[in-house]
Amino acid sequence: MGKKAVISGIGESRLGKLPDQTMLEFTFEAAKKACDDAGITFQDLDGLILHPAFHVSPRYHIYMTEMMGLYCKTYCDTTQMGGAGFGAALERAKGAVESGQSRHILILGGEKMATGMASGAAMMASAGAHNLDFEYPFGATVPSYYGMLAQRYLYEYGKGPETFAQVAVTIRKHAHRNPLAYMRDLITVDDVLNSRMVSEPHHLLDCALVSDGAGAYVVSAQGTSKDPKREVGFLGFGQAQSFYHMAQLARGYGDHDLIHSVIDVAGKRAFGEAGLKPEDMDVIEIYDSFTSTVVIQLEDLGFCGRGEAGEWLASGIADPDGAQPMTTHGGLLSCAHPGASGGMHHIIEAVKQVRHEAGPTQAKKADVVLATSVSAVASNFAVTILNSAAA
Amino acid sequence: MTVENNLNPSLKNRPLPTIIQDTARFWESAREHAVELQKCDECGYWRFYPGPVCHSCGSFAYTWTPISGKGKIWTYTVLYRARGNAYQDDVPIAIGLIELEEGAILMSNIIDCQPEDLKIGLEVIIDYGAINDEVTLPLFRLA
Repeated sequence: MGKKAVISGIGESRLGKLPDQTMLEFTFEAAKKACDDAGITFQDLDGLILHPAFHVSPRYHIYMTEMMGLYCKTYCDTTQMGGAGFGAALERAKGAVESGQSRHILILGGEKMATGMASGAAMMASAGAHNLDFEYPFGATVPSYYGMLAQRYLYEYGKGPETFAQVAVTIRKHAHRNPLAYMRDLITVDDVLNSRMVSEPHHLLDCALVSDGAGAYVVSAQGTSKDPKREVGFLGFGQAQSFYHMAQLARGYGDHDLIHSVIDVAGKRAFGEAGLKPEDMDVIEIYDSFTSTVVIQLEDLGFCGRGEAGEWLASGIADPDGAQPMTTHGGLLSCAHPGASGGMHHIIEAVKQVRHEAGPTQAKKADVVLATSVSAVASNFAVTILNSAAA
Repeated sequence: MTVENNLNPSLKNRPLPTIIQDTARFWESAREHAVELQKCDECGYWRFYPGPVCHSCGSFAYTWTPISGKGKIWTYTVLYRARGNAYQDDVPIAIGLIELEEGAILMSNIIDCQPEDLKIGLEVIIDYGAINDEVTLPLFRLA
């Protein structure tokens, strides 16, 4: 039996538009920074879990370790869970370290969505994540999937689109404090509602950015990094996956359907493992591909009641000076959404918060921090609760 | 937003489905303007999309059965922007999940209406539109 696993290092490339760097350059830059942060070299790694970019080889994970000169690994794989893989990979890495399979596992992702693809192609690329035979022929794009989810939510709870706009407003308040965020100007609910309609009821400011960038973290056995006091521990994990076709998500099963997602199952497991409740979380890094993604999670995880996410956010509780600051780096909506590494930055930000190294976005209290990862129209989820490993 | 000539996308440049043995009868019946879905011989569950196993009871026994073509809007969106897709100039498009009276839900386009006419729960009736000689999409219009 190995030792307890911890996050020993984190690394990020620059985020935003990076025309001067190739995808591989900035992806390895993030990898190097994460290893430096842990005080190890590439040669100390014996595991890699890669979040694959769109349109890469099925052996991309092997190829990437080859470029790093890692001839023999004892764990090397990809996650194919889309945005949910960022958290789910951590749970895999924890298991591999604690079983003694590997000593240092790098989790890595990066993508050149903004300057590496033809204009608009990022949206088309991700269509492959959804059904190509019974959905894409009807013109369904990623924003239209979330538009349908959002529309059903408004119908069930008798709400208006300002519920979703409030998410963008709250997250922008955090981005405003982050010099690395791409969109930093404060916005109002009206600004969101007056931005261009993309797919009803979602306006432009309800949708994530399209960015370049990479993220990385290292999972190691406790006490093996250069500064064990900075190691971050795992308090709780949960993951849950439902269906693929949106029509099947809508038809549902038992208590679950399109707007009653299975993240409640992932959440119950994570909170149960931690022995904590939603209100015990000091900071919540909620995955924010669309504003509706956030609303569904807040309600299904139990941060607020059904149909109440808009009011909960408007109360200021998730603001920078609120009791549970949310998505403190500015998220996919306002900081950056580099595809394959998009949600890694929520987990990286969670690590910074726990270490009290988040600088301008640091929350006053960040002993227990939750991060979520979501993909495929709110059908795949991972929930991670972190604290200081030394605590 | 009111659109000229109602929401009637041309279907030009739409992505084409890959038709496989499991799904061929569905697309054939759509071409014939008489869509059939698989109804489970064991439990009576109507399933969509097509496949060999009942989603509800796991039975392999089924019969391709015509649907009434009547349903309701379970949810919908109107897509105004599809940049990067081959059909990007053929917007706006109303995309909806249609709950058939048989119980199955399928994604489709709701045609020949104004965006503001659309509401969840409205009754719809099936129609058809051909992308090409091989692929006809089942579409819906307000009843």
